[in-house]
Amino acid sequence: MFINVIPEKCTGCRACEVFCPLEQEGVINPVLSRIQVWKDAPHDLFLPLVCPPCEDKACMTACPEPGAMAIDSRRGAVVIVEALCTGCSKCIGACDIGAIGLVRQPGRGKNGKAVAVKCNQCNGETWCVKVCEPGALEYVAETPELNGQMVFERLRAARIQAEAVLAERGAQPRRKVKVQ
Amino acid sequence: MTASFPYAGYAGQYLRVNLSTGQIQALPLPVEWAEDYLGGNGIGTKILWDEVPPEADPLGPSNKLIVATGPLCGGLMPNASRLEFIAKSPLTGIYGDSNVGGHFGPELKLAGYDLIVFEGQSPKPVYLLIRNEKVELRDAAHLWGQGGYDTEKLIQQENRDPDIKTAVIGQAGENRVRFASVMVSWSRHAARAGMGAVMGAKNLKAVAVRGTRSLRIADPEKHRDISFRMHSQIRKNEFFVGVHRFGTSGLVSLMHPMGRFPTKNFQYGSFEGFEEISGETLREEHLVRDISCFNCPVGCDKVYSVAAGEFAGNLAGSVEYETLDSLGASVLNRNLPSVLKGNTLCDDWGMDTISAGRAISFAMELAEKGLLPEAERDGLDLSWGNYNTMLELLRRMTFREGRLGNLLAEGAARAAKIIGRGADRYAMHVKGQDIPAQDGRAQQSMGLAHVTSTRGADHLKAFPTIDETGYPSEAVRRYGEQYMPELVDPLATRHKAMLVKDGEDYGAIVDSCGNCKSGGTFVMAEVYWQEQAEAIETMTGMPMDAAKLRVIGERIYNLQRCYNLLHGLSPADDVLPWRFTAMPSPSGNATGSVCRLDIMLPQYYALRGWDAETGYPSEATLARLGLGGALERVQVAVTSGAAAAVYAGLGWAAPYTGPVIDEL
Repeated sequence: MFINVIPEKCTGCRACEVFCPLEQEGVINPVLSRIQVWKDAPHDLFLPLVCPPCEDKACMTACPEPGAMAIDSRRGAVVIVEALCTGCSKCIGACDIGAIGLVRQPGRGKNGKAVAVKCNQCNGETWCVKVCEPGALEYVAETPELNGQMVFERLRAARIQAEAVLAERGAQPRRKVKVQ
Repeated sequence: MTASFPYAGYAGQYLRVNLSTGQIQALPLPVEWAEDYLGGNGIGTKILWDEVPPEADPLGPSNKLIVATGPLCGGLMPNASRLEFIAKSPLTGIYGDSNVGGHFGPELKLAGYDLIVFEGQSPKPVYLLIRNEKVELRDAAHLWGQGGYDTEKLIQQENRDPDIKTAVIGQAGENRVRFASVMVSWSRHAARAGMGAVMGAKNLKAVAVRGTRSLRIADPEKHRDISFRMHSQIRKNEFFVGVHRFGTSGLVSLMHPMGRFPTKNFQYGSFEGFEEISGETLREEHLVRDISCFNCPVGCDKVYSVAAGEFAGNLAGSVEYETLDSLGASVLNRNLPSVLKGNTLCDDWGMDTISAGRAISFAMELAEKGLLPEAERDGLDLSWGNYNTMLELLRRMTFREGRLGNLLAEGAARAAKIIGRGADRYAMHVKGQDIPAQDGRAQQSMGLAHVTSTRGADHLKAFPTIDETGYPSEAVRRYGEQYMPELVDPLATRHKAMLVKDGEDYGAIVDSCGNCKSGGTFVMAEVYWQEQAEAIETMTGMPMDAAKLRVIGERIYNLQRCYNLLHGLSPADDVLPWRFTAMPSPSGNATGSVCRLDIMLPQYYALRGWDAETGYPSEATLARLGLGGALERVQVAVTSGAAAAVYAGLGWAAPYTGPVIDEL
């Protein structure tokens, strides 16, 4: 299974960013969401970024900690094993679409300081998809016509354009967050 | 967020910013504010009542501006995005507020603050920058003179963060145009009642916020259940597709045949050119994209553009029904691209399109009736439908350029008083605020709603939607069979006092919580007292039920009424202009109808427990609402003459309420 993203349909409501962290972190806080929406309304930019996942999985290759990243055998999601993650951020740098974030929070991760976070497909519940009224997100099985890699490539291209648009507003959105 | 605050869903603290001294305090949110007034509109009203005396000049340092979220804002409920601006209104001189969506409200809550109280007056232009616990006043000299669009961008640029959310004023606010708006994240505007002028007078160019703290929910499972249920029901609602596709602009085609679409400054209720400026035409020819406020499944927000012609390249945020009227039908303009252009100018310069448009149609009618001599027109051709004049007047009002531009920047009601010679007959307002595109002859409840609104003419306080075009299924669901069929008949007066009172009380609750009147509480009426109470209780942990919530709604509304009474308002101000009450509608289904305020208003007073003669809430009513001391304060203000003195300084002329002036 993978998450298909159709940016053209996104209205930028960020319901995904609201419901995701409640399921994943037990609180409301869009910066902790494992799906992030980049937006700039006057420039027609609405880009939800989430791990589909892709084929290459550069994040897993980059991860120096044995077992800290794994593939969920039931659905194919790339998951982070928090107890083994040191928060070194190498996976974050390896992902071309920025689908991984870092949460600095006491008690989290192997060193009790920080942990990488990413979409684990909510055990199939995918709240982001459930609350996406315009249908910009779909949770679907791979077909010959569409798979996670294709979505990844689409998002990678869109992200390059988005960076140029957002440069006019100072910088690109940040994915490293400190939680008190 | 603040560990000591007993309720989840709240940040538990608020900011007090003294712009005169530069002092910024983060203070614990008083628990009784939350318990008695919930948040947003309610707490803002309480602060205004306690801290801003009726003698305060709305544009002076003793007025305060309250920017407030509510307990549901930032949360899971559909469109939990709404933010309130509350202050004494520069347009009306009495209680004022303006509500807005977008993404700013949730961001403020997530930065750790339920609300901000701005006091005093800065000696130089500043903006407030909030990044969680870091709160600072920054110099805004380089932003002063910029439009809203550039101001937002410059603030994001200089702080290197495109996720900063802003509430900014344009040049109209700086120039204290009395109906100046606040732009909140590009396409949303807190536009009514002149909140932008309050910011401008305080030298406060913008509020910018980035919040990354976590918000706790009291009962996450149950709160997610009710919220997701409401999301799902709204998505299935029979009106969803229409509201999603057109936003409010879809109303043009619905209101025209009803005679409810104000045309030529309310001379008519139908516009023969309506198809050229309808929501359908707008979507077909100009839509770029549907966009949404925070966590809203509806997405009534839009981006529009003009592809060709003299306004080619113009990009506009949501063009609402109201603007299609005020810059379209009301000035007899059927050129849609010019309406889009006007919308963009009002947004960027920061003006309420309703009051700006009404000021223009007022001037055009004065010219038509011979009440504005050539010498006072500053060289403008004020003939109906001249959209170049319309656009030029928007500019002159913003920059207060020329005699006429400067005069109209005061709003039609004040301009009428200044002009004299019977100009008040054509200023279509209640209590100084211009009447929106909601003709009370074609919908009786709406006429009453304009009058009983605490901020002057307004459809959104009572927001009677179920009898607008007839919503029988929703009416029965909310009120039961006993009020049918009159309740949904727009021309019937029966039960409308009840509908208006209920809408005002419930609306005060919605505006205090931070969800949306157009997103499931009034339009697509899925969320009502019971669901709202359940959402509040599961979000905050505050024990809540519908009965308790009704009392809070009444308390808020009665306190707003009492605040206005301190300003010398009386039943003599609870009136509509003659066109609504004396001149039968010439248009559509409403033909021959006048607004029967004479029937509905006494019923409304009785339902509210207000005295028929003085308009005061009775002692018993206020005691029941826990507002025991309020009546005494009103009585002292009135008997001492203080209220009359304030009233004399309000600046606007009451509308002409006499017999029909034969002119059609």
